[in-house]
Amino acid sequence: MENARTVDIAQLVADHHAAVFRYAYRLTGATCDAEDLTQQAFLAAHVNLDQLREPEHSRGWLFAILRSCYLRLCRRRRPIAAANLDLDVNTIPAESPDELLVDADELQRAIDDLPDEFKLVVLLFYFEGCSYREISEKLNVPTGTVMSRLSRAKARLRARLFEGEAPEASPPQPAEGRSARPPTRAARAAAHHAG
Amino acid sequence: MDDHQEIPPDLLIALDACRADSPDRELPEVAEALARHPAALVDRVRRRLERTDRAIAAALPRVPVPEGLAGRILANLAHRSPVGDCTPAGGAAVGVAERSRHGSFVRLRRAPRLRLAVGTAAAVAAVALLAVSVRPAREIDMATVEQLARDFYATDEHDAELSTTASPSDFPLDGRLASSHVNGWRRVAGGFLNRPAVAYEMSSRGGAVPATLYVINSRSLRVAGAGASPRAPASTGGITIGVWQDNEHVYVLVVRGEVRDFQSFFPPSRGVA
Repeated sequence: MENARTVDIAQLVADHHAAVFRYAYRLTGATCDAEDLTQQAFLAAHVNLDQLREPEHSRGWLFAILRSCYLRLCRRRRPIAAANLDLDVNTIPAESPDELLVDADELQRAIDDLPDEFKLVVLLFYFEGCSYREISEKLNVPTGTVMSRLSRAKARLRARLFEGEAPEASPPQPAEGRSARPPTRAARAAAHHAG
Repeated sequence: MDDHQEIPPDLLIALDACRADSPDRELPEVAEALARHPAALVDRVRRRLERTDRAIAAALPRVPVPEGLAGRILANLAHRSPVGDCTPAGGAAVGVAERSRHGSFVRLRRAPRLRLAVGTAAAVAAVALLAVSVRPAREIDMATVEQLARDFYATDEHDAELSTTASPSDFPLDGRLASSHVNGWRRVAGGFLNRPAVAYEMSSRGGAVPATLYVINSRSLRVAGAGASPRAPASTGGITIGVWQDNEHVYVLVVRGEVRDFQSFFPPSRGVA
């Protein structure tokens, strides 16, 4: 009953509904589906509130429930094949002091195109800030598998988000110094923000 | 090395596993891989990867949250039964898949043959809600109550049928509001803040200012900062909310109007503290 004195579902909703929704949106790629998933996660959390042993870790606990709800639903749809998700070593933008800008829509499309097992690994890494070892424990997958999935998924994201930024993809610069490269996604994102 | 030199795949995998600004590179699996390559190469690739990692990590949480989401979640918690145990070590979900109209995601729809099971689950959920209501007293802060009330009010069933019989004795109308016009009362299905509650639909100024008073059983709930009278009602977006409490109840008055409209519900001598 210790939890009952310190944790309340209304407080959990107030404190974490936004973060859970954002995570759900990145998993599902659609607002209505994200809200459905968020509702299911809080419903499961409510029913299992007594399993929350450490209230200070409420957010991680809710994220774990969210992932579990998502995986259950994913089992009912046709998976995206991972066969084409090759490791591409030529996707890393060159060093630059400039901040890289990310096109929000393209980011979601890139995540949507990842197979679920890769999507989860990437979101655990970027959204939850987990180390590859923590990801390995949470998903019950060997660390080597996590590292491989992480690298392949990140390469795919880089290729989608920063195409044209990678040095290998850069054609020689014109003598006049004017870039002949097509606008990158980052440049389009910057233009979008400016517009 | 220049940027056009191809990066060894094992180096890329090792560095991709590392979080920016973390000691992950010291973990054995990574350290072993990095040791196979010149330090300058490792450092250069690491910087390039961390630059992209920071950009992606910063962009991921940029998702607008739908207005009123918290209120809808609480309302659903009160109204709906569990569709499955989604805790990490949970059992099988109850439901069948239905393709979403808005994407490739699937949502649960209860199968007719499982309605009995779902009905049982609903009963279990109702018991769970009751269990919440008898937990030891806990505190919730005023700002949280106001925000939840705002969300709850936005999705509440204000057009539901009202009772015009005498007020329920266990959810009495606060005497200070007795001079207001009360259209009727209704029990809040599923409760408010997961507690049993009654809503009074009322108005002041000859019906010009509508309001809803939620009277919540608060034996297991205390609102930190709430006194015996509404103090400094919170007003934003054309909605003003005041919260007060006594030993048995929390009162939440949600007025469609400004602070002066809120104050019109209270006689000058017994008004807002």
